Amino acid sequence: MDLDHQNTQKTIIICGGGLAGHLTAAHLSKHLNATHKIVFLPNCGTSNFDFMYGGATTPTAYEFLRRIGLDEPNLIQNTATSFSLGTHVQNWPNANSDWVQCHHLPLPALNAVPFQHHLSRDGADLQALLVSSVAAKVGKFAHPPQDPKVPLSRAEYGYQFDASELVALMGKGLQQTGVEIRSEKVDQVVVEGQTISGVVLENGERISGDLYLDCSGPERRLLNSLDASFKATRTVSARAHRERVDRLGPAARHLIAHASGWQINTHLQDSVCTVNITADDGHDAVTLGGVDHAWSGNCVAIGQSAYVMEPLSPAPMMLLQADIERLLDLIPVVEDCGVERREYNRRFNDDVSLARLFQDALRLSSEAFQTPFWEEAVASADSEALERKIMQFEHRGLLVKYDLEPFNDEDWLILHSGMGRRPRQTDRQVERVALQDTQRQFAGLQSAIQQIVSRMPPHHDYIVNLKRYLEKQNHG
Amino acid sequence: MRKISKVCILGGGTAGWMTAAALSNKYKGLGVEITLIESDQIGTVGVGEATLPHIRFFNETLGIDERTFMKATEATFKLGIEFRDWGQLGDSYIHPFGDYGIPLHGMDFHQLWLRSKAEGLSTRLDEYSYPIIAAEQGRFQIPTGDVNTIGSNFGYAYQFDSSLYAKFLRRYSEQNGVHRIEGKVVETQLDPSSGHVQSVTLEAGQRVEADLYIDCSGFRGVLIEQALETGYDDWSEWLPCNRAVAVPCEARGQLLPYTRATARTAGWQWRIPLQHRTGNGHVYWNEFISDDEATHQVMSTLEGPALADPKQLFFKTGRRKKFWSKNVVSIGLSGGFLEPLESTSIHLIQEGITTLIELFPGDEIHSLDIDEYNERMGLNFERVRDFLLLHYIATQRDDSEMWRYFRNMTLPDSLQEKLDAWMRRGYVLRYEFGVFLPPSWVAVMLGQNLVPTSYDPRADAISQERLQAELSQIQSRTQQAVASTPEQSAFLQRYGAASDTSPLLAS
Repeated sequence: MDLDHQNTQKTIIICGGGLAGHLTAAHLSKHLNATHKIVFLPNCGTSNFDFMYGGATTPTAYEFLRRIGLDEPNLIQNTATSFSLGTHVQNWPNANSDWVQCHHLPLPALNAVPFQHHLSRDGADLQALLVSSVAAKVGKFAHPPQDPKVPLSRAEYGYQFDASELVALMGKGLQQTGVEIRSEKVDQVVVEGQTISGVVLENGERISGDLYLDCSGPERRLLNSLDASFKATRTVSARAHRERVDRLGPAARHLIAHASGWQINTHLQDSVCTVNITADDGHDAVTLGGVDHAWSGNCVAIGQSAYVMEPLSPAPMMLLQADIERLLDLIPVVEDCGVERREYNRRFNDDVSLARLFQDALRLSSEAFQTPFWEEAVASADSEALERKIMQFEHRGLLVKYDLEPFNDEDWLILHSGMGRRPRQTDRQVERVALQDTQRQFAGLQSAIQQIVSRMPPHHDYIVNLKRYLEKQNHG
Repeated sequence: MRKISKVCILGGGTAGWMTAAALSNKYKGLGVEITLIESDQIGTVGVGEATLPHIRFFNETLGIDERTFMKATEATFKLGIEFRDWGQLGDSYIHPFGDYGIPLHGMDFHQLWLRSKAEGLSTRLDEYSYPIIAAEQGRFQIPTGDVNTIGSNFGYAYQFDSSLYAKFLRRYSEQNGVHRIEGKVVETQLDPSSGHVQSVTLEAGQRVEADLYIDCSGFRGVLIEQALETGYDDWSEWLPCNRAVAVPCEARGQLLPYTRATARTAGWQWRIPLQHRTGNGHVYWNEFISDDEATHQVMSTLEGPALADPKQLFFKTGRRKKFWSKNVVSIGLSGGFLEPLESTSIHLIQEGITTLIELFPGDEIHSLDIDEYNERMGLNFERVRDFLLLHYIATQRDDSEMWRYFRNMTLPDSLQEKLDAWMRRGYVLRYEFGVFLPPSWVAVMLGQNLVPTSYDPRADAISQERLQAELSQIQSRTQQAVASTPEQSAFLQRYGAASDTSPLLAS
């Protein structure tokens, strides 16, 4: 085995702070401290668009954050982070829509026939059978217990957070690692041929490395210097503001459609963050879309340097997490990183297009709002892969799956159902269970959910008590 | 009134009776009438005697008792496949059912092993695999279900007599109301407007009508090809072996819980140990060896006297252009053929059946169901094909025309990328849908001497002492677990799955 490369220390340069830069730096330092020198240059590009990551994670982020020290007690005690059972959607796809795109464990097959087929025959309201949806709607929260007999055990949760607070927390943590942090601004990117040979800081110092990570956000400071081709889907105006509140809101983001765009609220311990997306009015413009090759030469674009997506679902955060995990899987081992680059870009393109499928499936019919914003949004949400998913679901309740999708069957069933899609045909196998039996089971489940939710505390109270408990632990 | 109420299965081999059993179980009492036509004159191929762990789920769904099934089919347990002479002459490795080692530091175990190997470790990766070590020693026990415990971190399948399996499922199906008709189809009537199969006529004159036909007629594809002329994608360019000769013989020696595939100069030879006999066969490319020589090679290497005359089989690797066309679904050899190097024949039948059940037509045959079925089965076949091809191209052999052919082959891009990423850093390109997951790729690539030139740098985050201690603990726990595992024949007795009949003897 040729081990030369394994014994000489390589340098990785991270350009750009913000959520992408800090998460990348934290994960690299966790895994590669022994073999790599990591230089972090947070003053490159902008983190002003971090709100476009959406301020909410899915359950998969739990382990991803825990690994770099952002465990739950840390987040709850040292930031305004709260819990997220999903996204409460209103006015979408039509005026009286009211549903939760909630996180939920797999739904039970009855007599070996998938749940959705029974649902389709019975015509039952899926939302009433999802404990995380029912709790989110009435603003309740409690940790799901292990005991599978308790219906709450089927709920899953992520977090609602403010990116700048996470960044501050990670910034402190990084001081304790071997990462070299330089506060000088990056002035210039030096390119030779198809690779970056260094970056020049504002004090004139030139820093060179083996691999450059572009975390500079939509400016793409590094990748653009290599002639990256960015494909825009459309441009919107995006604005965010944070307002203080006395009492924490529900354990779910709140998404509302209106004629000129949509709005999402994130409920934090002490405030509400609101993001408004409207048609491009010449101010606060954000161009949505992405590059074909997130890895070009010796430069890898992470997060918004690679793509910008609307924070309609947790997809932007899931993609950021996927970027970092993909990078960790493929840190080059020799100078010629063609193998790693091809595989990274293959996975990147798959991940982005699969995440887009989910967001595109939230497209509204043209009848909903006949405004330029929605016409443009609907026009950009069209692909054969999505058609296959929607057609098969509407035909017979079949959930078509592609390899390694970020969203699971439950996410898709909840989405289709929330969007008012119903199968035209019910799978014949459901007849193996008598309709009355299914109805009895559904009614039993529904009342068990109502009972447990009625006993759960409001999200606000739960967090107040949890913090008291953690405080005691700290002092005990 | 539903239109799809009559199903006709054509062919009574493994594919036909597996389909009949599964459909009759799923649609019992739901107004689906199932008829199976089979001819006593037409023999079945019955080559696929070794299976993959998924078959257990198939049997469990049918409510079949494992012991009863094993006795009835002379079945043995299978922990994997031993490949001999594939990388180089004299080589041997086992592709096990199960991952290597146990989850450690959130990394693929083989990456930690690669790092230790670079630091001088000489232990084979196999030493950390319970199913490999147990197989090498002829031992077996049923896993407890906790896949993170050494001694239970594996899957298992069976090796059985597929004609006995078909008989077993025939009894099951008939008890479930499947109507069996003995006879040979001599004519197929098509609907002039839709082109659907309307009815089939048997030699005796009987006409059988159905709404949906399942073509399990084997290579001939009586409905899918002879009647509907669906067409065939020829994959001989990748997998050129086109003939086989099969022969059972008397069993000798310890009853081994694995199948063996030995590479030959123009193909490969299988050995499948059952309770009452051993199955053997030689798959070959007739371009480089005569039928007589191929037969001689297998006959001269039998472990015991032959129990029958060698049976010659002819095939062309590939797949039907549409597995499902109009109102005919082809399952088994009528849908496509991939050589049984990794025991996928019965598995692909199973995939065909479970996919059909998921897409079973309701009121009418719908193009959306057909498209989805064809898409999914196409992917299954393609991914198996690439995995089989891996065995032929991951080789250092150049001692015959066939091996030189493979060494000069330009690979499909998807496979080439996979090999490049593996050789660079032990990275396995993943997919979710397809039967062979990363541990299988690792087994074959390492087993055939494709040793990566480097490894994942994250493996360096652990101290050398700690890693060595962890590896040696896993190795000794694996040895201990195997030592307390009984030999397979003893386990079969104790478990109550030993056959009641005596081993077959040549007359």
